[in-house]
Amino acid sequence: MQAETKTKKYNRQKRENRYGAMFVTPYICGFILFQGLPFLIAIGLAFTNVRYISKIHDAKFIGFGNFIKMFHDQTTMDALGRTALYSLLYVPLIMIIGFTMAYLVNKGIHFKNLVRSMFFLPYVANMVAVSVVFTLLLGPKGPFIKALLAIGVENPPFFLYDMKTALPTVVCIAVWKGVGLNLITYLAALQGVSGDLLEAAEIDGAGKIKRILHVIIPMVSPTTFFLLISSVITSLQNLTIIQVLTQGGPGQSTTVMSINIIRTAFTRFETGYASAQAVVMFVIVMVFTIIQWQGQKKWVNY
Amino acid sequence: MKKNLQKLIACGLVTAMFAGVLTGCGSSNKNNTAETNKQDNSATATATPGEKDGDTGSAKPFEGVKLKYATTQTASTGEENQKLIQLVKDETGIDIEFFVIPNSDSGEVDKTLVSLMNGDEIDIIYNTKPGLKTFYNAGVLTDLSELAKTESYDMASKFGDYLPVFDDAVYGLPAFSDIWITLYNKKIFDDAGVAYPSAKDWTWEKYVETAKSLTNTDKGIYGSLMLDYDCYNYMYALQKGWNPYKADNTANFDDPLFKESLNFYYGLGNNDKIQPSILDFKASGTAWNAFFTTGQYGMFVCGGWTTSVLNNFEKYPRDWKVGLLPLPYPEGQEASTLTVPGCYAIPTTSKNKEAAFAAVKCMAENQYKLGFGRVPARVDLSNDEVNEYIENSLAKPFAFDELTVDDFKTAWFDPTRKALSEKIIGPGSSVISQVVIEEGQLYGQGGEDVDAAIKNIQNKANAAIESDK
Repeated sequence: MQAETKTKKYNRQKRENRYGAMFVTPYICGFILFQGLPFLIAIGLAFTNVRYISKIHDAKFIGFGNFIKMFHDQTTMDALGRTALYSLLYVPLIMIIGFTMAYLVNKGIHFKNLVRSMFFLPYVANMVAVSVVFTLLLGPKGPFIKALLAIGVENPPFFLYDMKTALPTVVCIAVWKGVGLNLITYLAALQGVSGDLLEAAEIDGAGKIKRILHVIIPMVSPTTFFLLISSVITSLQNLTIIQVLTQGGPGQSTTVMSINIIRTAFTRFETGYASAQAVVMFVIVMVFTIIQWQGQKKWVNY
Repeated sequence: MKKNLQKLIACGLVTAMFAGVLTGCGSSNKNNTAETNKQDNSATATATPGEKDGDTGSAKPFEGVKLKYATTQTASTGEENQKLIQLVKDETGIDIEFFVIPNSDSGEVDKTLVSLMNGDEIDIIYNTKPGLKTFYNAGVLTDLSELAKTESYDMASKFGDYLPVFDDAVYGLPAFSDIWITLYNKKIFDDAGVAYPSAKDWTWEKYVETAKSLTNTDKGIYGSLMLDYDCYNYMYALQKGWNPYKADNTANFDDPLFKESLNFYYGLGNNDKIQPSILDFKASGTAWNAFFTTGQYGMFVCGGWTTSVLNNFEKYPRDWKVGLLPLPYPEGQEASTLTVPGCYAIPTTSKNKEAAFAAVKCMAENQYKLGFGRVPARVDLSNDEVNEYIENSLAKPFAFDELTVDDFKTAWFDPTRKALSEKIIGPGSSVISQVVIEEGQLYGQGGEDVDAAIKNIQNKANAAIESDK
């Protein structure tokens, strides 16, 4: 009887596994076809001198030629530097603002649901629409410029068209657009923080700041870890926002790696070289992610 | 029973997921053909019986042959292309089907090129003369010289310098030429009490002087409008005899004429203040059609294609009239203008090159006759033929603006006016265009001085030329 139950259980498990595999198969096929194979092809192309407008049989294997060229190419190095700057601005900003807003919403404010929806709305908004709105807001007839003129600022900067302000402005817009996800995720994590712990800390004499630093932040550290990794990756996937807002300009002040890769491939037609840049970006993201995984043991509390 | 139902549901869901994943992979050829058939029918329906019947008896060696013409969805449904394929059908008996290609935005690789490099069978493509250079570099164009020789067809005597010639071979036939002009808003002239300018000796010096007397920034009116295309940066230099490449095929942006040209173009907004500075232009998101939609600009220096907007009152309603002048030129120089010919070419993937050549010939020789304000890229037309064309076809759609035959002749058909290429044609040209815009605008916005901009353009252009070898 027991053996029969075991067999039944085993068969059911097997069947469930089979169904599971069946449901995963379409995604795996799609992944292999549209991401896995192109990724492998890109790695292969990175070691060739293939150009978009040349015959594939004319391509030659050039070893690490494209990678060496990349580190001697000032334009690409500058783009890499801007990418790092973009991430350095974006990640801390979105993490801090996301947490702060979630904390405030969690503490209890009027129209909590409305506020939560308002913060999440930009996240689902169309990027092109966002770009149109910000181009108007920050343009010569927009309220920012008018306000600056009103308070006596002569020649106020056009934030998106000034070499010095263009990149930080794009970052701020990206943060505004993406912070909703961080807020919602942190909010869920904050709601899981035990009230008993906070009460105990309060009884022990911990003030508000200490409670945040020593109770709340450690308690939401798994969420912080997840958001940190996803924010770093998001900060490197910045093609759309830059393309619609500044197209990499003025000059090259917002030309980050994603824009540089597109231009190398589709304006300069250097497919092999563009692939090498994409591979280097992949390696950078992977290294950062590994470092974060390794480092999490020291600060993430599960 | 329950198990079977579970299996059935699971299989159904998995199939649906597969279909979802692969839904974007299907070929759109069926749709294209369906669309084409629909268009063919509508085109046939719009043709007058007389037009169709008139040619039925003539010899048509390619009667019934079907060819594929790659173009965008918008162009394929446009009236001009519909009439064009009907014309080819009437003249040669060839049925042209549209091979619909997605639009390519600025900076993107032409999707037609992607399709051709993928080996898609296409018989006819359209592009500008500089645009065809990329296709030529990719090795996807058929040399027409042999086909013309077989038929004893003299391309040079028909199309002259408009022909897209690369390495001494002809790779397309030009159907029309876009010639640069000056449009002016007569109302702004009237309000400012300024006399309409004359085409005679229409120099940049006169242009700037006129624009100054029209500009009234308190009312938001500028005397001039120019866009932010690459050619505005080097237009003035070209008219003074500058060439983008030196004799040794290196970049020529360190020539003082180019510096003068940058200073001239950006100075119009920054110093003369007769048009929005490039910073204002970019920051306010000024559109290419701002001259027509706002009525706030006295004069507009632009390609002739923009005149197609003038008789589109539904989309561009206006109560003010437009005047037409040629492109200004620097004082002391010979009169000149910028041009870019639109050409038809035959890809190497075409399976019926003879028929494609017959169709391309028909399109190139006759498209201007269809009544869409085209300037023929023909050098063999007599004076009488040109006059007849202007009077009976070209000028008619512009009746509201009271544009005269003389206006058109001076702006578009002046044989003494030197024609200069609007686009840079040569090695590294696509990168060079982008660099000229980037660095030029940076200088125009005050981000760097003119010498730094020129040094950067020169270095980057040389790198692009080297990389293109």
